[in-house]
Amino acid sequence: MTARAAPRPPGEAAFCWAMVLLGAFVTWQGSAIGHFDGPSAAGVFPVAAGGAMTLAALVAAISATRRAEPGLGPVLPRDVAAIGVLVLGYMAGLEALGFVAASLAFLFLAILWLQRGRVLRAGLVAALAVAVVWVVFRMVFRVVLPQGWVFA
Amino acid sequence: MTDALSYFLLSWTDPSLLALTAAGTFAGIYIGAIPGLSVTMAVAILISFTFTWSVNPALALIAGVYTGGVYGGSRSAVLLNIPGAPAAIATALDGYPMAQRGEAGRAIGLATVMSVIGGFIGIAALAIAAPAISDIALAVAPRDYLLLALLGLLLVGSLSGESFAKGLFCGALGVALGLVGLDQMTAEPRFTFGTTALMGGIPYVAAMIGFFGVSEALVQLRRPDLPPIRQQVERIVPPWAAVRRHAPLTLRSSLIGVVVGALPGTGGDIAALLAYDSARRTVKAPTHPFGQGAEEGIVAPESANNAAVGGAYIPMLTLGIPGDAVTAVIIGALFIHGLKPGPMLMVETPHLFWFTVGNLTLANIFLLVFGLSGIRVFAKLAEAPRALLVPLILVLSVVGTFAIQNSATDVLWMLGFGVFGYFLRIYGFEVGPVVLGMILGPLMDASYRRAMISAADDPLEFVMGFGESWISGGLAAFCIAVLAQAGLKALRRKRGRA
Repeated sequence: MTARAAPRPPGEAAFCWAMVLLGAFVTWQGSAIGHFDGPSAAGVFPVAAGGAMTLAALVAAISATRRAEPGLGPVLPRDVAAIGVLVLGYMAGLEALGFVAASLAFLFLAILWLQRGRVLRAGLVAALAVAVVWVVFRMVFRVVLPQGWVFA
Repeated sequence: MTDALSYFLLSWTDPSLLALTAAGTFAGIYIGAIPGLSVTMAVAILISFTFTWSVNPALALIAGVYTGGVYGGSRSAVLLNIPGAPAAIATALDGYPMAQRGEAGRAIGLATVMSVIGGFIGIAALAIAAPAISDIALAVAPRDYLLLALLGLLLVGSLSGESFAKGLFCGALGVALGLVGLDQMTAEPRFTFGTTALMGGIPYVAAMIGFFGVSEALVQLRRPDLPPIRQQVERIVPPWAAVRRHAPLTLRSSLIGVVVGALPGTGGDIAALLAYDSARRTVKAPTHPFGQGAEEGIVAPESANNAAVGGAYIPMLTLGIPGDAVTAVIIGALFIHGLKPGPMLMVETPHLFWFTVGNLTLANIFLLVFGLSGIRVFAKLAEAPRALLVPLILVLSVVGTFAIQNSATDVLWMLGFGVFGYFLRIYGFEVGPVVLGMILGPLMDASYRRAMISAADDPLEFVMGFGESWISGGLAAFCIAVLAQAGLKALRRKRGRA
């Protein structure tokens, strides 16, 4: 339980210090909730949660800074960055193009990138997956899926 | 007695009721397995088109969906690390590592059998001890809910991974996220930053999908060259020896499920988390370490969450108070059909009680049949190459999140949590405590404040209140014992290292 697991990319200490700031921000925002007119005030738990976040992150940050181990590997490997960009495009596309077109495009491009080619296989898997999701969600369970406004 | 037996067997002997229970259970398993499709939503939809039916077919279908749905969440939890429902969060903690070892079939088989056993224990409690359990559920005060939530939150300690500080940070972050929105007691906005979009809070199912599913998919992309894990699907039904070995844990977890399920405002998710925590503290020699694919990590939550179904029916049928969100919807269905769940139900309509008991038993038998079939096909999902699986997980996460309340904002939250979860994970923070905090934080906040208000905002009176009833006293003593045990363990570890 205490042994270190996988090797970490660089930036652990910086990330932990960012979490300290996040905890301090939550505490500050929590203290601005309503009036602290007693132990049952609405802000008590938010402040307690923020305080616990700050203290715990502080301990983790000090420990990571002291260890100062050199990180291994990139923070955002090429595949993670590429899929991240595609997901952002997918989000924008969902609102504009609707579920079918945006998901087809996302799946096709993501599979094409990750398997380094094989256009036909990527297209077939994307089409089949979108068809299955459409049938299950839209037709069987009558769930509303994003419509988009380009093809509306 | 003869009447009770004939009502009990009604859905077993009527072909249409038999078929409806089977269809409901089958549908429930797959509704539960798909993230974003909740049992509550399915039951609410069912009510809208069964309200012209007579009461028995409607209840047969609903009981099947409820039973199947609570179990179904375990499938996607094991195969994709995306709990299909909040009740399967704890199952993912050890089920997914089992799938990573090539034992997805065994994990799902174990989850199925334990769910059925838990379900039977829940039904037995409903049939035998409903009035007694209802009395206990009614006697539970806000301070007791506070202690129960605290017990659940202590799980943060064992879910923290390498660093307790990082686990505590994640648990507290989850509590803060769970408090976003209008305060349920005073309607004061908390962490809303003046935006109406945050007034309703952050849906924890979206956070759960993001933290578990999307972050896992992104982390998998860090090692794209790892070959897919070959799944062993030769033996999916757990051997009798394993069932026997886990029997004491199954019984303990099921009893936790029954009692927590019977408490209004809780449900299978909290029951499963408490049972998982209890298993981590009490099982001395698990098959593997907890969090790394221990069978006990599946046995405890799966038996508890299905036992909670029977538990949730107890206050609903005997007091007219729902045990969880699904039974709240079922109460609506009963009223639509002119029935009045409550203390007079056993007097005015005893057939309804025994019909429900018989129907739930039948649904559990179907759960065993449908749960154990198709596992070989499902397990193959985990063998798919990452190049296909990761994009599919992302699309499923987006659609599942959108389906919760047709909100693009929820999808943004989910993806945001997914990316944040990715950074948390690569730097050694565990995401489990975040979701745990989101579920238990609001319950703890509301219970603490109710208890404090009832003590007239006097901290001394608040503390003295724990001695007022045997439930509070017992729970408080238990919490102190757990904390002392954790403290002693930490001390021993420190001495061992010195």
